[in-house]
Amino acid sequence: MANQDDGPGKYMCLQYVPDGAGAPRASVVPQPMKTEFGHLYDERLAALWRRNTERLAGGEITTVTLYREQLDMTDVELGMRTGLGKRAVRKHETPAGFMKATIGDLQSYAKVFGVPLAAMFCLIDDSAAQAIAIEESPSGAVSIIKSAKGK
Amino acid sequence: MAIQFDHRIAAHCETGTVSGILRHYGLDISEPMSFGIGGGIFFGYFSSKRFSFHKIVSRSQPGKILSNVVKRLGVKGYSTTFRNPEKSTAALDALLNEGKPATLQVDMFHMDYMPQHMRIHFNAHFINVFGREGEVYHVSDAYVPNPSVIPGKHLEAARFVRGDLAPKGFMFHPVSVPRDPPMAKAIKAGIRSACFNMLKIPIVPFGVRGIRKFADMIVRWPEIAGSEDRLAHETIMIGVTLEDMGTGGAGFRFMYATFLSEAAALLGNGELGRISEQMRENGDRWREISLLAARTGKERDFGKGRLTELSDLIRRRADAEETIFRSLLKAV
Repeated sequence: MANQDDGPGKYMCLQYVPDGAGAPRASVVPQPMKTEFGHLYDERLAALWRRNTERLAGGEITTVTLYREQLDMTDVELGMRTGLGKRAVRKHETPAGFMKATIGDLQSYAKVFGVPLAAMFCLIDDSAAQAIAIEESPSGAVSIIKSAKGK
Repeated sequence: MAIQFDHRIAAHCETGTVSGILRHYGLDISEPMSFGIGGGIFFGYFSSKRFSFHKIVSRSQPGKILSNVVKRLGVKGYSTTFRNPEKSTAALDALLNEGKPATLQVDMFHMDYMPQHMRIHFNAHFINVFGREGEVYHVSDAYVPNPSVIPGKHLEAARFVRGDLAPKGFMFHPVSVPRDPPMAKAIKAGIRSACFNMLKIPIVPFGVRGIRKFADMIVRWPEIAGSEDRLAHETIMIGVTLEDMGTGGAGFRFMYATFLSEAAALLGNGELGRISEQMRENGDRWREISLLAARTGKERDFGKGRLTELSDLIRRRADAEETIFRSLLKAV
């Protein structure tokens, strides 16, 4: 008894009915997490990534902001997770402050973001087909490596 | 060595994990039943600076369902937290060597068997661990169709993350599970606690008051968000929060309706069956709110009319839930 067409419960995706042995079983396997609305969220994250990599290339933000916003975290939460505190996070989110971050600080960020330490210094952008080129952000803190798709 | 463990997928991690571990010890209760006994249904509207934006929640505090189910069903067990990761791993290994699975609280980000889009930092994810082979642990995660394995160092990292709701190595394992638990008493206690949470917490953002606050605040979201991008994201997140984040649909309302229908059959209480139908209908209306919110976010139609329509729909849910929980309180 699931996914009825009309009446109350017509959108029901999870309903339990007893099987022959009397044990409750899901009549329809529940689809946890992203099912019906998640793709909109994913589209938003892809747009955010594109916009923020442009800002990073323009020297407006640092990789700390790039990954933090991608994971939808506040600076307070990132400060708590890294143990560095929100003030340090806010400082490291400015290009000038990022240059003063220690390797230990960046290692803490990389651990929380789930990326290698090197990703805090360089970004491989393969969003558009283009010749391989390495440029530095205006602040000099991050190298943007533009790679050709499919090559 | 892996213990024989009956893995089943579930809509929600904590309730799925609780029913999984109790089933292993011979107490077969369904996921909605553990949700209901644990008094899991809730609503909260939070506007703290700790969150990136105003947040809604539709379930009680993580960990409460586990503790309430254990207490109300008369299960005896140990809940432990650790400061030292090595000691926590040693304690887990000792349990597994004795052939006992354990429930752990972890950060979902480190569960590398999950698809990438599910790996977000959420510290209150629950899993059952039922074996160790060398450096990997066997895991029963309610969000994943099959039993999985995870490297020991990832599991350790997931158990000792910092931040809100930090797991601090939380581990639970039952010692004795009653053969004939006091189901009727537990169901009634679960319903009463849910009614208290929804009707009587004297703080504005909780329960039906929280739903009304949500209705009041959503029309002000454009000025709070500041940018159209942020607003679009947050309105889409209403749908994601209510439908996709392990709720079983409609912000746990379908799961609670299923619990009420199971409870009605167990207690022979027809009134609970009638309220279950009302709750299911209420879930359908919540799902309409999710759809409208997602559509609003996608079309970026943030005119006064659309948000007012959303606000009216939400306020109607507050009125409906107030009636439902008041009649539920009378029925038990």
